[in-house]
Amino acid sequence: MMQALLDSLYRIWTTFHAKVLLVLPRVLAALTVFLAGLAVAALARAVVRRGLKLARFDARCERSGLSAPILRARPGGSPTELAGGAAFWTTLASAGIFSLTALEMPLLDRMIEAFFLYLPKVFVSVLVLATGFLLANFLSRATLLLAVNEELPSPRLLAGGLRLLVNLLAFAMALEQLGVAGTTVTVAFAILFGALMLALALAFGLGGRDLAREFLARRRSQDAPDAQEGLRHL
Amino acid sequence: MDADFPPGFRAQLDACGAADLVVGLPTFNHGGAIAEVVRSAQAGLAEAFPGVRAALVLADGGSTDGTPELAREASLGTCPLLLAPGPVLGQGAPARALRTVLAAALEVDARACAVLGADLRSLQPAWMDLLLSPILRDGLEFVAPRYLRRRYEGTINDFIVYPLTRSLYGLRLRHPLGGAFALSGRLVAHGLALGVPDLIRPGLETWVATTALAGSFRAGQASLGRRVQDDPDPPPALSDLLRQVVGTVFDLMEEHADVWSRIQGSADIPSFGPDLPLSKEPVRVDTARMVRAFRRGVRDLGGVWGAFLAPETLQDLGRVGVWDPSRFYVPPDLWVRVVHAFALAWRRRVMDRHHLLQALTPIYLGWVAAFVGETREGGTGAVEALEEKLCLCFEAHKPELCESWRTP
Repeated sequence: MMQALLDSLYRIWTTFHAKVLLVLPRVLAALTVFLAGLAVAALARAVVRRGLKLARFDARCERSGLSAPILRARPGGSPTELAGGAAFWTTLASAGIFSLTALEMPLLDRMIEAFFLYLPKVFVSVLVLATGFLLANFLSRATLLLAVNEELPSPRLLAGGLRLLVNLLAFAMALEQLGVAGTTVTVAFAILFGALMLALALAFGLGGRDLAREFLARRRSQDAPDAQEGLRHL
Repeated sequence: MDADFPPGFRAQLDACGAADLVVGLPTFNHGGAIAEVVRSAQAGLAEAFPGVRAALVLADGGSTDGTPELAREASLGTCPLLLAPGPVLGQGAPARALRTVLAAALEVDARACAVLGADLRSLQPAWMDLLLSPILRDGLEFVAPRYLRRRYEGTINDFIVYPLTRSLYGLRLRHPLGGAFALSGRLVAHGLALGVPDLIRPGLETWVATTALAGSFRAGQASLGRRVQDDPDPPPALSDLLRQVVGTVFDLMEEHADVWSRIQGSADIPSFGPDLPLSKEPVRVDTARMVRAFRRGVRDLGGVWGAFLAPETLQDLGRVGVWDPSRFYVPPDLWVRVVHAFALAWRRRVMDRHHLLQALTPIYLGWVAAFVGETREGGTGAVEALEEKLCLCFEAHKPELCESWRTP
């Protein structure tokens, strides 16, 4: 009885020992890859920060309006810091995933493969969002300036509405690219956009008839030759 | 050079031979005024320069109203009229026309070349003598016009172009945007070598005047009297005018920074013809709309202006915006700081340059309204005094501009 127990314990120990001997080098290899990845990530962050500082990235972002949302989200932050952080975490995450492959577990391997196949979609989505944001800023500023100079009512509302619309469109496109509830997002966007246009059409068509008449009359009187009498700009 | 000439123009030039004087008329649908302009120019050349070989060059931008034919019919025949047709319309047509005139002047080895707006209905034969004699007889190389003005006429020139150009290049050239000017043969060659930029008319005039001033060509001005010119139809929007004129001034500031940053103060330049004070003709200007435009800017454009105006300038604009209309006042110092800040923002490309100059419109209107409010009750002397005060203010702030300009 005692001998059987000892034999059983010995078998368990030898199996465990064999498994430890099998897995431990993989774990150590994974740890090494991860630590190397950590070093590379730190280096990548330093290189990105240095490069962007030389390229005056913060100033460029400030001009394009990209800095404002970063500052709103994280007071004291800067686009260079953000890009450096993104480089660090992307490299570290990649290193972490590579280190997992060292464990040679089939399930993990399949998940990693799927992750890497998904990555291009993430990059395209980020690109769509960034482009949408820049375009929204540009169009919003153009609308604001035009509305102020042409004496249109509520310039900030018009500019803000356009900015929201373009950002929404970019967001919907990014989600569709990611494959997150693609149909739902497209339909929701179409309904929202349609509703907005209908609301505007009703507001201007019915509610704003008098306002439009008044506005056009005012414009006509301003364009008349004697509106500024003696003043000539050129 | 030959490649710049429209088809058929080379043969006319060869037939004309050498000429001491060239008068250029860039045209585009100027059928209403061209006959009188051609007759006046030819009569003026014959009266003032008898025996001197001269030629008139009409560089057309593709008129559809028969402008070249009308010019040919109106020609007095006292000097050759060379017609340079412009088959293609478009953005670059005025610049192409100016290039053709200058290249023709160079080709015929002209000693002086005058360029006149073909819509100058007030053109007198005497203008030829006033514009060209300072070059032929006094050795000047650039002559700009001076006109008899009413108060508040040419406010972009009076409040931006003249004071800024004067403070930058140190010469008191009163009307860089005059619609007529004359150049020496050497300046013609210099301008062509630099390359005439693709601008439209007010911008081109600014370019010619600044090229002369920055290149240290001896400049003078001739008093021509009253200017009567056709208004463009449809009239350009104010923000477009500012973009064309002020954008060109800012572009040229970038180009000639090494020249103007070494200049301090300003000096008078030789003037020809009678002194032309402001006309005493009463002028009525409604400033309420301009004040409203300024206030709308203060209310809605703070975010845009905040990208490049100093915080104290922004605060000062805000304080002006809340004042009572009857007490609306923009100090000259504030206007100068604003113009300099826009020039710096242009250089640093703080935002799309078209947007930048659109953002100037409400402040410009505010300054004009304040200027009118300040000088309405006074005589013409009050207007001239405040204009001079503004110019001195631009000169006083120039060291700060130079300092900021050097900082990237």
